Amino acid sequence: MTVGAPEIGPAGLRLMSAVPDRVFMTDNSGHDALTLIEEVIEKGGDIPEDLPGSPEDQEKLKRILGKIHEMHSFVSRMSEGDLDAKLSFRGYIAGPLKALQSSLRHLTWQAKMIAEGDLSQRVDFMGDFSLSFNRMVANLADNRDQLISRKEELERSYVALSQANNKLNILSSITRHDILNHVMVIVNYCFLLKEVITDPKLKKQLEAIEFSGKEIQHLIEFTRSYQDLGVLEPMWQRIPVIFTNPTISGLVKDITVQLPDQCYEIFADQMLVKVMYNLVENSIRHGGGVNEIRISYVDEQSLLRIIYEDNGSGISADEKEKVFKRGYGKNTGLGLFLIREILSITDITIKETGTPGKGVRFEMTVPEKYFRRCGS
Amino acid sequence: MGQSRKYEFKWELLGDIEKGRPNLGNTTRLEVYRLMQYTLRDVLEQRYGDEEADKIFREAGKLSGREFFHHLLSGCTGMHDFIRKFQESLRELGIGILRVEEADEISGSFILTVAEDLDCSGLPELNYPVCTFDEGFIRGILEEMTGNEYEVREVDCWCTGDRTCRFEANVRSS
Ligand SMILES: [Zn+2]
Repeated sequence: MTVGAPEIGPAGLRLMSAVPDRVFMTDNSGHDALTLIEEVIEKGGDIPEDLPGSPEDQEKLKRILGKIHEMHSFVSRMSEGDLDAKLSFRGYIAGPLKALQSSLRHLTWQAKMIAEGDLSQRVDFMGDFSLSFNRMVANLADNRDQLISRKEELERSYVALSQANNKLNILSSITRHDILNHVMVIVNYCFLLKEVITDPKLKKQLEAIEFSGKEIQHLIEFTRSYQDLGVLEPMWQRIPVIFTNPTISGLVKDITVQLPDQCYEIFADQMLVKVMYNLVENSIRHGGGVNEIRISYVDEQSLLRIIYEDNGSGISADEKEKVFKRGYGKNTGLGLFLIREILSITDITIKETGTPGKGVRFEMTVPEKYFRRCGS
Repeated sequence: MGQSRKYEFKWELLGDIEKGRPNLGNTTRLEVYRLMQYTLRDVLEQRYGDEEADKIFREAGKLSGREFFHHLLSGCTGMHDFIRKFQESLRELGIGILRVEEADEISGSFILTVAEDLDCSGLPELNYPVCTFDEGFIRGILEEMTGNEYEVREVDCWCTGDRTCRFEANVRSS
């Protein structure tokens, strides 16, 4: 062997000078040790049982190889994102490795702070990385500030709109009241006049006036229901909870109501209770002896279907779409039309898909962003 | 202790530097600071032994940490704000580059590193950490900030071959 062969390098030389000379002079153990070290550095592998050299050298070699293994596992763990590895020794090589780990731990912490919304943190003296990182955080902070001010603007607009809406409501409420008073006069006089007029032609005309008067009353009543639509912000609601509302529970005293087992929350206008009320009322009024109402869900991931069914007479094919027209049917007139309007505020659609003669089946389709499983 | 002490620390003892040093200004070479620190240490060790000397340094560090907090870090709005200001002030005053590796707000534990530390960076390698003054300094600051009693230990130091000083700070269990 040649001691200090050029390919051994300075670390090897230092190692050799630390080992008593005679070891190298008398046998090949020094050479074997260096080969082993090189092998472990390049290929890894376990530390062999039979190490070359004297017991003292073997101990030393074991320590060196142990340190190589330890550094390997330290760096490997770090590269896998595990920053908790410890090195049992210090010094020339361990120092920078620990410094690298320290920097990564610090960055992890900084990133965590940012994730928690603290955008005041900055990274110093880490070269280009600091620059990019700090710029990114500054941009995030900028964007956040912009979003906040946009949100505040929107909130102000919302308040202004609500106020305007309130005023309009007051105005229309007064107007409605006044109109109804006048219409009542017309209808009442028609009623009285019908008693005294005998000319059939005049009587017919009078009935037409009375009919129109009553239509006006219906329309005005309808605008009253319509006025609350969209006034309050939509909110997350549960249908079973809605059915505990006294107006509905009073209505279904003699009806078996089957509510779904799964729990969902639906983001809808606060008049959702009116939707359910009108559906139930519709069943009772037009179903012809409905005594069973079922509500169920069909979760299709990207949308949720709410199914409302009863065991009444159902809706004939040619009426399925007409029932949603404003002024359709007597008494209700506004019922199903209003339901569709209320639901449409949060993009929920409704259609009737039942089999005539076997009860109604209203299918309400809720888009993904407006429903969620309870507790999620 | 007597009624009036000769050297009881007051921030005012740092003096009006602007007035006092119109030409030389408020900076000096780091060697000067270290010259004072390490000669003082030498004398303290000779007189009281190394353990006692370290203790004195920690105690002085703690006092300086407390004063530092009150004069430069008070008015922090929370832990995050505190850490940011702490980092900023150490950088601006050239004390070191403070980095947080861990800050557990519930247990109150911290792992901090100080790179380019005022006391030890560039010193010859020894077998032991030397930043006892820093240990006290960090302790004083954390105690003032949180109201808890702290134990601060330097686990890695320039002098032990690590290029950055690492401090573990834990709330002392009473
Ligand atoms: Zn140190």
